[in-house]
Amino acid sequence: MGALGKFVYRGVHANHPALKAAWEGIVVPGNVEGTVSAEEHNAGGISDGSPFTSWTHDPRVAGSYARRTGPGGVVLRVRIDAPPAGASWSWEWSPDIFRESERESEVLLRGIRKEVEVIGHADLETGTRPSIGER
Amino acid sequence: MRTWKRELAHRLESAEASESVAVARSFLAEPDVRLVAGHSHMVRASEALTLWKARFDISTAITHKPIDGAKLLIDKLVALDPDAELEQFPLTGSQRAGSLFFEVADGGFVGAVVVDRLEAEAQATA
Repeated sequence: MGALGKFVYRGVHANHPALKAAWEGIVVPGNVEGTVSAEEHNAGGISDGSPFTSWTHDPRVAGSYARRTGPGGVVLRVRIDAPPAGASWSWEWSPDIFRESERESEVLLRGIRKEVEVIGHADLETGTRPSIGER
Repeated sequence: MRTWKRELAHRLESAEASESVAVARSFLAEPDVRLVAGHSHMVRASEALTLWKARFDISTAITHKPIDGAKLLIDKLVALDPDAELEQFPLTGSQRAGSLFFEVADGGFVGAVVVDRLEAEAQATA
């Protein structure tokens, strides 16, 4: 993956079933054992059964997703790096049909990942540098 | 014509003529369009609305990469019962990709969202 070392962002909206985990820095897909493909996940409407979560290179896009059901959502951030041996997660390519980033494609995270950075999303609307560590 | 394609074409025949139906028919007429994963799936109207509203807002305000039919789909979804079950048909071909939506209760056409794959790929590599 050519984006190694760069940050990617995920917006979790206020009514999302994994919101509480997200605030604790834990990323949980709809169904970690799900057989939904990356192509199906990207088409939308099937995230309940998917082992993937979607991540974008654009913090503004993540902010938009975090706000989509109103206030109370959260934006997460991680650096794209290789999973350590035995990790419960891995990165996967996304077809990103709807091009949800100005320059680089969306990426998918398969599985559960902990110790993800939780960032506020108030600053993300304008694309300015996000504030770190605020809840 | 494959069974699913014939079925969708038949459903669109009974839909009232509109810009949204034209988008769906044009997409379905592409020779190499295929059903992603070989099957449709169910989605609640409220879930579809939040997803496509977010994607539409992002496409218009941030990425500036249009999604044909998105605004029309959102307008239809807003008017539906939030708990209404929809059948989503995700489709992809060499030229375009997207989804068609129908109401489960009566099979009525709800809308379509379609993007030009070639344009998106050209922008991504520009």
